[in-house]
Amino acid sequence: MQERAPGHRETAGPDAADARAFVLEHADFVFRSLRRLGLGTAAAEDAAQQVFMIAVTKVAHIEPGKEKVFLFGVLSNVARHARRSFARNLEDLARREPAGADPWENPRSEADGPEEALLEAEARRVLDRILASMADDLRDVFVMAELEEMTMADIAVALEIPPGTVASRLRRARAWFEQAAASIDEEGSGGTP
Amino acid sequence: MKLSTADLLRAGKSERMRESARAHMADAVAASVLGAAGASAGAGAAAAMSAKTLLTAKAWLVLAMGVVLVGSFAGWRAWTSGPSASALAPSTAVAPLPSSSARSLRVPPPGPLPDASATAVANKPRLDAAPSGRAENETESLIHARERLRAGAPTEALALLAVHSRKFPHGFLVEEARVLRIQALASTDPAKARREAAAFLREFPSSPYRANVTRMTTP
Repeated sequence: MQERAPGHRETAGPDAADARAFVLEHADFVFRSLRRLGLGTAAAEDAAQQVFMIAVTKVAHIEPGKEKVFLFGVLSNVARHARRSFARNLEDLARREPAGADPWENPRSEADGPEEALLEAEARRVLDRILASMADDLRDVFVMAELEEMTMADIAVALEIPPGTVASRLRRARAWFEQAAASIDEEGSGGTP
Repeated sequence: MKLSTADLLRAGKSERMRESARAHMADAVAASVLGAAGASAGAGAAAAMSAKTLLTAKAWLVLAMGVVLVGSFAGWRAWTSGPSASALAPSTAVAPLPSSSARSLRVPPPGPLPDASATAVANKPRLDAAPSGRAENETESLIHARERLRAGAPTEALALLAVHSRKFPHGFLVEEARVLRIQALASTDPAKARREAAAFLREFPSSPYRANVTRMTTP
């Protein structure tokens, strides 16, 4: 019913080189989405691998151009389970610990670069704080629509919800986001929550 | 500092995975495909991804994630976040073991990891090997060693780790125990630390401790 990619072998299953290319192409998207959905760096790296382990078994059946739709459906579930499995504030604590004091404790490597990198890190911290304050349902929709610029129709497929629900959740999520961003601005973004 | 909504969104969009982590993940996933190729041959019917197959995939996923995540993430992240954040083992509750219980400083070489070659997922802590009561002991045992190391007593830490690895040869914190041992060795026997670090990097190609292990053993 569907044309096979050239070189696809009917009996050999998914090809390792294809899988590798697929992972490399979508790694950043999966990783940053997991981060936005509340996982710390190390947990997101780990969860990203889980997502791809699942995704590559289905890669031949994903409609071309709809990879992100499929991947987000998987990763939002993975993130939800991961969040449930360990207390969220545990991750927050880990994130705020000063890096480098104990190399064994904090598996993060890259040192922060110049000022822009610091500003960006700060913006990301504020963003994640706001996202963390959202309900799970709103956060999923907001991340897909605002950060990944996916269409309402695609979001509806990824989350298995009606398009009308996507629209109403997105409206609520945006309102929440604006309000939270404004209030953080007032209290000053540099302080600890 | 004034951050606009656009600033916040841009920061969220620009985050990238660490280069090394991305490469390791790609390798691990490709390896798992190679391993599974035989088993899944012919299983894939040529159907376009529809909402229906998505649903099936997700139902399957929920089952799988329950098994993989529930125990391993909880224990593993609780541990890596340190005892201050760990619900399992408050640091105030641990007392150093009497040194007489650690008779030998010689640590038996770590046994081959179960299923280490199958997939990268096998590198993750094993759940089946650790009932919850035992897991707590395993965590505490490792925290003892870590506290000795932090207190500037690497030899004592190594002794505790030797006891630990005999007690929990297939525990779910095998990776953490190995990293701790490498860190202790780095100050007592750097050459040995480098050898063990090389072995660790081979056995745990996707470990989140890779960068730290490399750094510990780089003069």
